[in-house]
Amino acid sequence: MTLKQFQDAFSAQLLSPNNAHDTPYITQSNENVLRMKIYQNNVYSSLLDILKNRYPISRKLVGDDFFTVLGQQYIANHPPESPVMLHYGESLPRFIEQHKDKHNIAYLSDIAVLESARHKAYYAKDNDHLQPADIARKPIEKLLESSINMVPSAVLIQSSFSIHTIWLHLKESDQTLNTDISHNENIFIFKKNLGVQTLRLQDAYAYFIQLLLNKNTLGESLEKLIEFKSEENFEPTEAISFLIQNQLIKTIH
Amino acid sequence: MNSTLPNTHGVSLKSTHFQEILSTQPDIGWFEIHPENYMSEGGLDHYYLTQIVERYPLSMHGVGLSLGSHEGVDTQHLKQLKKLIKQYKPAQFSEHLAWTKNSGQHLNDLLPLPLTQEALGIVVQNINKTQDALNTKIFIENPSTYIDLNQHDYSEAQFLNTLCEKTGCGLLLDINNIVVTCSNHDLSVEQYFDEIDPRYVGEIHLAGHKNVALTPEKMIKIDDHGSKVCDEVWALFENFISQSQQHYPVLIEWDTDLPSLDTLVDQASHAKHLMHNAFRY
Repeated sequence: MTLKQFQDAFSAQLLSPNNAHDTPYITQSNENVLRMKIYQNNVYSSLLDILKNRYPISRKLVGDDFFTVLGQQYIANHPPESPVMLHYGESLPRFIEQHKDKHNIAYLSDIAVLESARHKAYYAKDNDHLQPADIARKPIEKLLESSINMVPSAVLIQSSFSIHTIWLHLKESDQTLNTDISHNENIFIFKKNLGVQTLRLQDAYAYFIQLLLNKNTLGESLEKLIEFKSEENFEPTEAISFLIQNQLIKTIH
Repeated sequence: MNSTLPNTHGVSLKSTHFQEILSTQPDIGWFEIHPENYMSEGGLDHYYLTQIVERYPLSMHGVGLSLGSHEGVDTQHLKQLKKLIKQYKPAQFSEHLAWTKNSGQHLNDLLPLPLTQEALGIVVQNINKTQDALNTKIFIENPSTYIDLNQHDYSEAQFLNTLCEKTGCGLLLDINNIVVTCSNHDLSVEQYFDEIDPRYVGEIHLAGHKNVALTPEKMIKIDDHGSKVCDEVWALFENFISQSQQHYPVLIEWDTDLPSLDTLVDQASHAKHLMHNAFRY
């Protein structure tokens, strides 16, 4: 009997507690089944706690019991691949989307995407942006010809539902939201001054951010933005100020 | 890194206490962190830890190296540890006699090891690799275990002594874990202490555990780090200091149902007080 055989069997028993396993070095007995359950419980409850902390609003939406079942299925299918548990649960939104037939909340995976992006932004590098003075030194013609590389924490989420409204409401309340939630909302998440910002963006700003994230130059993005909002009194300088004031520009090239 | 953790009282550093620690600067000799909780590019935890290490010595107590794994230790994880050690310059690094990963899956629990000749060779190799990579002597903690493995070539104390002898690592003696493991496997705590070679001990952990019913007839101790240190553990700690006549870095571990910082400081101060009283010279 080798250590490898023992660890292979022990891990299989931990992650699939409902299947019978014969583990080397463990005498089959009712008491040992109960002792094994302590390890199974340690693994599942600690990983479930990680998911609950990372996705508190998603959990609130489906209730604790459903979230526990969902979480247990996720853990069994996607055990951690790294010893750094700060990153565990990143693929839960996709898992929720793949299993949408099991819940009737069409916007649940979008809420989970929002929560996951906030978590990643929290742990993203701090003060990773260009200083306003560095940006001001660039000639405007050069700036307009350049692509803007945004800080890694910046994520734009475009949902068919009012997920920012739902998220804000459930952060403060346990009550169901009694308003129409079938409106598109754009949510922009990024880190500023060590804090995570979660802004709802107007369509024009979301379009502008998306153009920049798609590596359009600043000039191209502003031109398209003006066309997009041609009937509105839109100031391109406001869009540039938005980027600078929110510490969103990492590099210009 | 040379092991320079002061021979006095420390506590686990928790994010809920960051601001209070900085504003009140409590009488604590050092703080311990799990380095895996700081393996991120940024975040407030780094912001506060940077300030705390300017005021207090730091111990890094790893939970992710999986020193008992037949697959060996992860080179990428060692790199991340090296980076953190360079950044925060801890006074000591410790890990566990346990395994946590298998076939690319990390199970987030300290799992039990059959104490066989084969396992000894594997753990020796993993400790050597870690000490070489981190360029420091590391300290290995005795685990809490819950299941009887029916093949052991060594007692746990003999296994740990041999690891120290073969690798030059030190021993982090967790007295609560000794109580938990001995109780769970009907072993003698006295014999465990008799077998441990005190020359290898470089740090002591104290913590709380809970008692739960495994069956209507059998109680089991769970190492949950969620309560005050119990009388039995305090008494064993006093006795160990009294016998060894050494001062050690001694940590109060508390990870669940977190108490106020004052409670943690009180427990740690009590440990310091007992250590001084048990030291006769």
